[in-house]
Amino acid sequence: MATVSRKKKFSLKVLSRNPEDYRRETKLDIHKAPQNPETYLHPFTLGREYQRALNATKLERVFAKPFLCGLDGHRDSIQALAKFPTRLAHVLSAASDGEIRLWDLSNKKCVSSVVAHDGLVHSLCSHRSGQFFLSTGQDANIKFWSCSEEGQIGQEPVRTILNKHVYQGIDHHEKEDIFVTCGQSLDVWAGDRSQPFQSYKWGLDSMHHVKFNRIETHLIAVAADDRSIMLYDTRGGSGVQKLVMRMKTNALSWNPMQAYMFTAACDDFNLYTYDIRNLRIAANKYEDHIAAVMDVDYCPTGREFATAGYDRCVRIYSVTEAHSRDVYTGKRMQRVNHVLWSMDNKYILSGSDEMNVRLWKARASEKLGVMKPREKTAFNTAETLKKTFKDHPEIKRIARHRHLPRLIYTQKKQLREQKDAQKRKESNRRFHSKPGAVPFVADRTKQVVDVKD
Amino acid sequence: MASTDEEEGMMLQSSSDGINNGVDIEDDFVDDAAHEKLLNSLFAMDGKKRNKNNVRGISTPSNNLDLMVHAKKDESKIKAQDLKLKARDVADSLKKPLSEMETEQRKRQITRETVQTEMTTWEPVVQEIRSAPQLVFSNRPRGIEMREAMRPKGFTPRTPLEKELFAALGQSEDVLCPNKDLTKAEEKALKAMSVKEAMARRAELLKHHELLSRAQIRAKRVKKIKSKRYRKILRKEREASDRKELEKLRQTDPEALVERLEQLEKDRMEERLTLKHRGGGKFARLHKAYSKFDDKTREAMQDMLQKSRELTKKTATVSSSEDEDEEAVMVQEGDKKVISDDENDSEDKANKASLKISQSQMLKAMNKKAGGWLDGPSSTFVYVNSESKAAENGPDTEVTSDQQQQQEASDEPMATAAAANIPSPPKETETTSQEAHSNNISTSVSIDCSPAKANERKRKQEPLPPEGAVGESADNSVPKKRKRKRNKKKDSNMPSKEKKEEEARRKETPVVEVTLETPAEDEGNGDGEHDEGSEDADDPLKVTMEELFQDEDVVEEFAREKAAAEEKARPKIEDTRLPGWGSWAGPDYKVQKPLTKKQKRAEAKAQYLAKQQQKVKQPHVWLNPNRDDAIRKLQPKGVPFPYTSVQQYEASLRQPVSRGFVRETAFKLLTKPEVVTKLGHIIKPLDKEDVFKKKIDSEDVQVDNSKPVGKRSRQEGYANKSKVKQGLKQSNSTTKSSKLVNQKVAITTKKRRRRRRKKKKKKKKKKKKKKKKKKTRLEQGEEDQEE
Repeated sequence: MATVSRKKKFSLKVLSRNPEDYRRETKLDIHKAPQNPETYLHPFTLGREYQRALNATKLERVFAKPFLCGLDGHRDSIQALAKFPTRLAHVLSAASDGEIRLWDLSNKKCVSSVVAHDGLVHSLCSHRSGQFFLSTGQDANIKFWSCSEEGQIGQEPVRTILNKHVYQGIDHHEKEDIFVTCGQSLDVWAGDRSQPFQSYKWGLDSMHHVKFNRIETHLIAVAADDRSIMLYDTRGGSGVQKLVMRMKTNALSWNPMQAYMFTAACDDFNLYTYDIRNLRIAANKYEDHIAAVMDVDYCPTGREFATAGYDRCVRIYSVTEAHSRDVYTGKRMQRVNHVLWSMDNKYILSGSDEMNVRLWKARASEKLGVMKPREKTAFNTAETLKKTFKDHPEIKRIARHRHLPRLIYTQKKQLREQKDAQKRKESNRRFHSKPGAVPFVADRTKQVVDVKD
Repeated sequence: MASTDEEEGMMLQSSSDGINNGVDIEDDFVDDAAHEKLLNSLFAMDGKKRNKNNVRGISTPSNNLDLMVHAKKDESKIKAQDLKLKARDVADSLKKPLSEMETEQRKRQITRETVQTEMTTWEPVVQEIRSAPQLVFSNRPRGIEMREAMRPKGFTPRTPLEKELFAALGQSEDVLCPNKDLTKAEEKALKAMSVKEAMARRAELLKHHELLSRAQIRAKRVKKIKSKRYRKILRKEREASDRKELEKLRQTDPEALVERLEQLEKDRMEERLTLKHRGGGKFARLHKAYSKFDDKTREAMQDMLQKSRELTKKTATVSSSEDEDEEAVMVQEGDKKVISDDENDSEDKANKASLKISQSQMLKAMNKKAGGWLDGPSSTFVYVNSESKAAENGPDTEVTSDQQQQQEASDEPMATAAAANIPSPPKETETTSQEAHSNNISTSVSIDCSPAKANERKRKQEPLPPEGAVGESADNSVPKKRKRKRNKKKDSNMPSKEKKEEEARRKETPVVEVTLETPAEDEGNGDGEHDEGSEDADDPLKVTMEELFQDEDVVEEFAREKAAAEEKARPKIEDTRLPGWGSWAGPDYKVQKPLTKKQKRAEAKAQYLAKQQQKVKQPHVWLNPNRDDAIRKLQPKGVPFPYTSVQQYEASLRQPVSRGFVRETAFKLLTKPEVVTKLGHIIKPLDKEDVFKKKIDSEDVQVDNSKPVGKRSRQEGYANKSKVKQGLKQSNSTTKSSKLVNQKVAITTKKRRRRRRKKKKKKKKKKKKKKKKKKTRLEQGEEDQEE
């Protein structure tokens, strides 16, 4: 009784809330959390957001599992990969034994295969309609293959063009019925003609990689064995310019969103992006590979590209940054010869020496499949936070941390030392010589030997 | 590259000029001759001979062999044929077409120029894409493509069940086809309906809808009314209407009445099963505590109990009667009862008065027996006591039943019964509180069975006597009335009990208040201590710091600790190098080692720390130099790339983006993803036709203004850009922005093209001036390409 009266005397003021205001109807509902965004009510925003960013970064690393599957079945090393402009699920791959396989990525199986050439298949490309694809091989033939919607390759080629010499590269025009091959000369073919309607040669060496510009569709970039990249215009039937570099270019890829940019994968472990209006200086230089870069392919948004390295890894670069965003390695993955970025910007394919085609996610920790709106917003927020705090050392460290094969790890260290030594030497030389005698040379111009008009 | 080519061209030209010097070029020829004359005369004045061969003899190599031959001739001699004007035509005929390599070079130059100008038109588009805050690819018009093969083929029934179903449903007009919005039947109905009809129907529907919504709104409003009074009135009304209805039913529809009664019976059963209104519910629990203080709640509680009683009460009557007719009669009586409440009340009062008298008499008597210690307000004690006495009197069932029968038989006032037979009226009251039991045990030791048991027994017996009574008494209303009376009695008793308790409590409260106030006073004293220093001295408990830490020398200890901490914080500079390593050593050799980098750094840090410590004026303060180390590890070392100052960078961090820290709209804007792509959507490369399509449309409309070309176009370009950006800001949707990009591209490229044309015109003019003669096939080719 005493207690009761005490209560009456000293009434405690207690927050009393109606449970209806905060209780969920079912356990699957969202917790109702009314919030007041006034700044003075949240004095520790920065700290909390930092923590959230840190957690998000950690989670990203936790969920980073990029490898989806290996497509095995080839009996020799992969020589070429090709994607269709009209289909997402189908991908072509060719091996050194002359076999071409068509894979269905949705069920991760080989749909059909055909032995296309005697000897290795040099290059593959698909027809703009997606109904055909073309292949060139060691037997100096160009073959047209039909390919049904279900992915069945016709057992006999639709058309065969016999040639005197081997063509090492082939690519098809984006819109018209034109394709280009390169070998001893650069040949442009149209329609059903059995002879090229344009043939071009600039220099004595043969060419091994050719790519049509996807936007300005009359432009062609060719990589030749004399360490040069040549630009060619089909309208005038003449070359445009020739860039000679210190080392050979293995492959190149046009940016699908920026008409005048292309990226070249070079033998000197680096990649260079050029603006074709000024070839004397690269727009950007991409480092990190520790061996020759064998292939490069842009993502369809034009913001990133994937590279295949002789150092047994696939790397992903952002166009604007000098170092790779991510690196994919496999325990058994050997030298990667080819890489493809899927047309929906979600997957990467790599074809390597040990006869496997591998399917990777383009973003290692991305959740594939349907996402609820809440999930989406959560991911977006996490992304934004990660971006905001990316320069904080702890977050940076976690975000950059990768487990790499020992080879890559040690080689990279060694390369780093070499580079530092070179730099040191140069700076010493500069220090001990007359001012101006050792000029500063931009890193992006060093690889350019000559630009021929 | 272009410049080098031109130089080359110039060189070629100059060389040919040198070769044909003074021979075939019309203007130069005259000038040169005059100049030669002048020079000769000047040299003649000097008296020196001029070596003409030095000037003439130099010939640049050329691929034109004819000219070479011509150049080797001695040109110092002017021949008559050279002076003939006809020679010009000869030179023209001599000019050979360019070699294959050169042609190729020229061709390349032309292509290069065109490609470069074309590529420059892409500049704004590329810039826009690069700087776009968000790129959405899934909404592009050519982003999605459905494959023909992926579309599901027409359904063909296979299994017998499918076939049967298809036969049944396939022909029906009400089945919706997959590609259509309406079924066939609906379409037919639509066709059949005239416009007027449709309008009328629509109006009707609208009206109906309006009425419905109004009713809904009203219902919502009414539902929210919280007034208790209103609710009470409403309830009363409802009850009244119910009653009326019942009346009506009795007259018109006996069957419905029976149903109603059955329903009532059901309610009663339910009530007895659940004991909903007995005080175990949530409402009762919540209000129990308050009911002691609040009259209204108390009333509510009472009402509740009353209701339970009402609900359970009818049982006796209903269960006692077996025939439906009787039931009907009883209901009638029940109804009457409600009306005649007031009459009963007066009777109750009389009963109460008599009860009180009897009780007081009893108390007095008992008190005398117990020796006066029973003095107190507990009325329950008396009741239970009397009960126990009843148990004493007759533990057998027969006795009690007899008594009850007696009571029932005699319709006399209770007072008389109480006077005659001591415990009879209280025995019937069922309430026996636990406290009473505990009290009871002490008094009734000799009782063979506990009062609780007695109670149980009584309850068991209760249903029996009414049956007997029904059989005996012709008038059923009598027991009923009594029962109600009993209830009434209880009701009147209960509040009285509570009141007593309350009073008792009130009496107690002041005591509590006193006890509670004392600590508060203490606190007040405590506060006072801080204010008044004079009181401290008087306080025996109060001691100074010195006294408290008499045996320990705190100050000195702190100084020692401080020194130790400083020593610990000071970076150690130690030389780990051995003598003789990297330096001379020997018995008389004085070591003169320069400090290593590490040592230098450590020394600098030590100096810095010392300086910091000096800044502190208080002697008893030590600054921990490592205080920020933990947080420093987490902070960026420098200002990251795009930012130029710490302030800028901090400002970028200061803007929170998470939900809850900013408003929802801001949150959505701030956390927009940079690139949005959709799984399974093919992203095509940029299409030139798409991007530049609008340009072509708008070019026909645009009228050219005559202003200085370069500046104007650039300014306008900027203006356009800003406009586009504004547009971007206004429109949130990315599809719009992409359209704008297209537009913008269109606008800027238009200007570029115009500029290009003008430039070309100028160039042409220049070229014409320079090489009037050299109109080769090449240039024609160039024109063709341009056009």
